[in-house]
Amino acid sequence: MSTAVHGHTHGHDDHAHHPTGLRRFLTTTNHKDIGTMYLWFAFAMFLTGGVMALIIRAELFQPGLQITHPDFFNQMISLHGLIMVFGAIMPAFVGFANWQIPMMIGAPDMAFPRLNNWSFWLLPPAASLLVVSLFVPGGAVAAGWTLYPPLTVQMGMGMDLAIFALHILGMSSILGSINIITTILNMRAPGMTLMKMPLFVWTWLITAYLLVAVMPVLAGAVTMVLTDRHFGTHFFNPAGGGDPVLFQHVFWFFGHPEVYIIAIPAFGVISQVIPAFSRKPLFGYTSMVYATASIAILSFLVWAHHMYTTGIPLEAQLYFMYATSLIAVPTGVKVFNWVATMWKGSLSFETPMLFAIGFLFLFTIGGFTGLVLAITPVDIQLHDTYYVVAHFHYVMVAGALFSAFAGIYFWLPKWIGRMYDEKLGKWHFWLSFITFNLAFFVQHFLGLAGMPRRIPDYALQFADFNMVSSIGAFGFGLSQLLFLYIIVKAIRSGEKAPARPWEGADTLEWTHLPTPAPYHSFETPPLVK
Amino acid sequence: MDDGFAADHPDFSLTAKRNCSLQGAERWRAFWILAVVSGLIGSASVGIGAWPIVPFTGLELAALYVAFRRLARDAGDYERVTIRGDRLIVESHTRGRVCRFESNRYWTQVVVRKDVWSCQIALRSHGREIEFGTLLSEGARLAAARRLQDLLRVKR
Repeated sequence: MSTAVHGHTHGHDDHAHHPTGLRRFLTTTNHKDIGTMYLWFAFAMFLTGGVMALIIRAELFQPGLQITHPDFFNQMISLHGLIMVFGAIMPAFVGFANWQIPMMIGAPDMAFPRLNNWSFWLLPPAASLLVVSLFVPGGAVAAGWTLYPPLTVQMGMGMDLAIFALHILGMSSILGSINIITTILNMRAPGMTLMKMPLFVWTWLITAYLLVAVMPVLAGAVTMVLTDRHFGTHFFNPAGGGDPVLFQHVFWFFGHPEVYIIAIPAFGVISQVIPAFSRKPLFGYTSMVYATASIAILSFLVWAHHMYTTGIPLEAQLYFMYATSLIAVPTGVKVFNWVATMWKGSLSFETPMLFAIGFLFLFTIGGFTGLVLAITPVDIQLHDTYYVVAHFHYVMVAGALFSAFAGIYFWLPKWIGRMYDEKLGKWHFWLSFITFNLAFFVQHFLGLAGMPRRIPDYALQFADFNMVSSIGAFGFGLSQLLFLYIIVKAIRSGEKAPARPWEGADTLEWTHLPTPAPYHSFETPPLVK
Repeated sequence: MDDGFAADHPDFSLTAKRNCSLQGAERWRAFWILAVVSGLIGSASVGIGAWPIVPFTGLELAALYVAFRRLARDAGDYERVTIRGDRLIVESHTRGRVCRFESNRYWTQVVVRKDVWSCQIALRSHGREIEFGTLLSEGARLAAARRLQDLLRVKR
């Protein structure tokens, strides 16, 4: 259409035209659409990985082999880990980044919107490859999410599909990170200096730096596995002069920062939610920024605490033990600051705050058990036991997932313009909190008693705690269906949200934008004082 | 956007620039911080025999360089429309290329093209046309179109 302007006035909504239907989501370059797609994709993957977890827990409900073949069990634990880490948690926080970063820094969109679209659309094929690998001869990868050789060198074509999937997922992460870095650095509204950015934005800037640094390491590691499998190299094959422990060094050089790639954006969400519901500014903003950066830097220096039992020299064990323990310092600063923010605040306990406090409590437990595992002589006893499983689920589920729930409940009114059902939200929190602890707290005892991880059958003495854990896991899984219901109910028939449903929230998206946020926001950057 | 219209001065000038919070030196400092860390990791991987990491590091740094290069290139872009007497001048500086369009104010028409995907404005005169407002937001672009239309319709 081509028209000459005749000076008539246009309302703002005239500019909010955008394509609809499937085409909108295939071709969209709008950060909000892409954020929504990331979040729904992550939830679908969360359910997929969750079903796998329930298959695992059903098998472990009692001793003996009841439901699965041991090899299928191994495929379940491997795919559960890969799907949850790469398909669910990481995309969920990229979804938050897409929705929130432009709105929080006063930018109209991401720096490279089309690249943003590609970053997302790389994910579904990669996830499909992982799931489809279950149906190829030999089944899916069955060596755990850590993909240790020599097992991975020997497996069927499911392993090739997993390697290909990881390459695609890595590519998506790198493109997304480049976009996030350039957006945050180059598109901040006038007056928004780095030290005025909301902490969520800071945490994502640091996370994106980590991703850029370590993703090529993962790509290289799985490529070496691939060439060992098909092209006659011997990177990890001792028969050809290779070393399987090399893979562990390379993998964990990626893998430990990866833990913080998941945890640091979670810290960012919590750092927005706690001040909003304490009606106080975040305590120690500057120290929070430096603590986050310190955690990121230290995460590069501690990888071999995952490898105490591989026979690394005593000096190395000592170094990695001390270096790992050092991470407790900046983490402690963060926990202290969150608690100090709540101290003498005008607290209220809506669902986002409940999940934030749940995070604080459970993540601290996960942190402490991490400290226990950092101590070399203890780790040698607990290595590859259920204690480790309990530890990282306290970090990954209670840490990352609870903070994702906190963030979704917190920003949902801004995203859709409707409120969720507060009563059901609280039910979701309490059910998740109780069942999560039921599922995972007892696993500490199983680990201390010596139950190895990644086994489909176990000795009779572990039966009671395993039964409790399985009941908790099924409860936790079912609680997430309530979450789905709450979100769908809010979208379809939720009460209209007021402009600022949380009076303590004071970042740009709450103070400068209507609720729900318009399709195009901050086309003219605001001036930040 | 710099809108320089004064009541006692008949000329009009509107300049649109990108909002870039990262300046020249800072931009490349940010790039080099990333590049040095990734480069060190790549070099260390060669040292331990895991050289297949290096091509991926190289590819990634190339992508990062292209992104920062593009930021640097786009940072200098501007568009300026000036009305002086009966002359209308449009200058656009896009990715190092300068375009200049000059026409008679009273023979120039503002054209708006709007479809489901985007909204464009252009200035047309004697069969020649130049797009304007690519650096403006959609709202600001339409506001600029209306303002220009009003100014161009002023009778002699």
